[in-house]
Amino acid sequence: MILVLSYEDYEQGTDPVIDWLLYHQVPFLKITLRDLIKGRIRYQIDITNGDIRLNDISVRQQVRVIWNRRLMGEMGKILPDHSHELNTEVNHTVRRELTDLVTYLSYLFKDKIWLTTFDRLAVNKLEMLNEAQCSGLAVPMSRIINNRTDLQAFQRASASGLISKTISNATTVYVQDTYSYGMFTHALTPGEIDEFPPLFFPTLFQEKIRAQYEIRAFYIDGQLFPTAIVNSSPNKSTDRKLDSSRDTTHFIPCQLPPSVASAVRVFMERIGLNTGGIDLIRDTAGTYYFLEVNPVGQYLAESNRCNYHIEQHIAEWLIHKNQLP
Amino acid sequence: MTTLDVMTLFPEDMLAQLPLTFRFMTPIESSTFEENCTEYRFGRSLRHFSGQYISLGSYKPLSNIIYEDFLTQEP
Repeated sequence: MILVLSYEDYEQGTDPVIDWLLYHQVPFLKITLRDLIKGRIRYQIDITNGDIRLNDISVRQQVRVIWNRRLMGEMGKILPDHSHELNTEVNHTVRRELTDLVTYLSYLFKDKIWLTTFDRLAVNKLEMLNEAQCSGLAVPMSRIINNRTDLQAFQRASASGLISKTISNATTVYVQDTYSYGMFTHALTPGEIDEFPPLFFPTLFQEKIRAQYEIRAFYIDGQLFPTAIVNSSPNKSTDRKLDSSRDTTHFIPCQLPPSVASAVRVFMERIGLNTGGIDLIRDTAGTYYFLEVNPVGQYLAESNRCNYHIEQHIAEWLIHKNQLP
Repeated sequence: MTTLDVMTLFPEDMLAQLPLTFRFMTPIESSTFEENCTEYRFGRSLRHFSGQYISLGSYKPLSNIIYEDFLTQEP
């Protein structure tokens, strides 16, 4: 049996795969955080015998493959919202309780076949840059700097200028009134840098790559589905996400050069990920730079626009692994 | 997606204690920010209904055309 761990709703990467599981009529179980904490299903975790029984189904005996797709992402939406003055502390405790419960489940079923293990759901952006470099991928010059003097020196060393971006993958959108305020990759001007205070909070800076286009490559178990995101507008945003709905942005199926594809595979194996969305950038000289990897990245836009049917590939991978002797 | 020029939501005394990324926030009109899970939602999958499976056809015809740049040999 296949176990799917995901949101209850509005997780665009999950449902299309479930469509294919239904089509192939394979047994699967989808569990959400709401199921676990809202008392919708009857279950018990037998710590002594190392098993969980969900509606009398033994996970240890029946589940072979686990697709771990953003189970914990709904945490913020379903925590209790009391008007009690201690609500913050209550939620902190509940969050820790749930996190330890789910972490234990991942420990309990470490012998199952996982599509994204729990310990790889979130990766460190900085560590990934080093790992990519060790795997043979080019990475932009990157520094975390807390002062204007060093930043100005870094700027002088970067012929094409600098960008700033967040260190973590934490939520960076703030909703106020009718606007959502996002922190996207920003190209710094010399004037902006000169106006920064002498000392500031440590911030990630990278050399700005003269991009010909960006690439989002979906990876699953050695297979790559790369999409070139080509913007024909002379007025491109530094962060391509801001242009994704414009008419001038084109999603084109493409192939990575064999050496780059090979380095990506080495990288994914090094970091212990069997799936993920890899962001690359091709500069005007033809060099491919690694930017980031998202272990549970969205893929549906590229899948539809390039006719990749990635959702079908994910479902078939799960089915294949479930049928292994 | 409708955006405005970069700005910040926070006063200078607060910015002094925050990463510089907080100084460059892009305002996006929420009604045009389709996948932010705000109250403005353009897609919905409340529950899974098997009757809806594979109901979305690819809008682009299949072809063997790939971006020609990638057909060039590596040096």
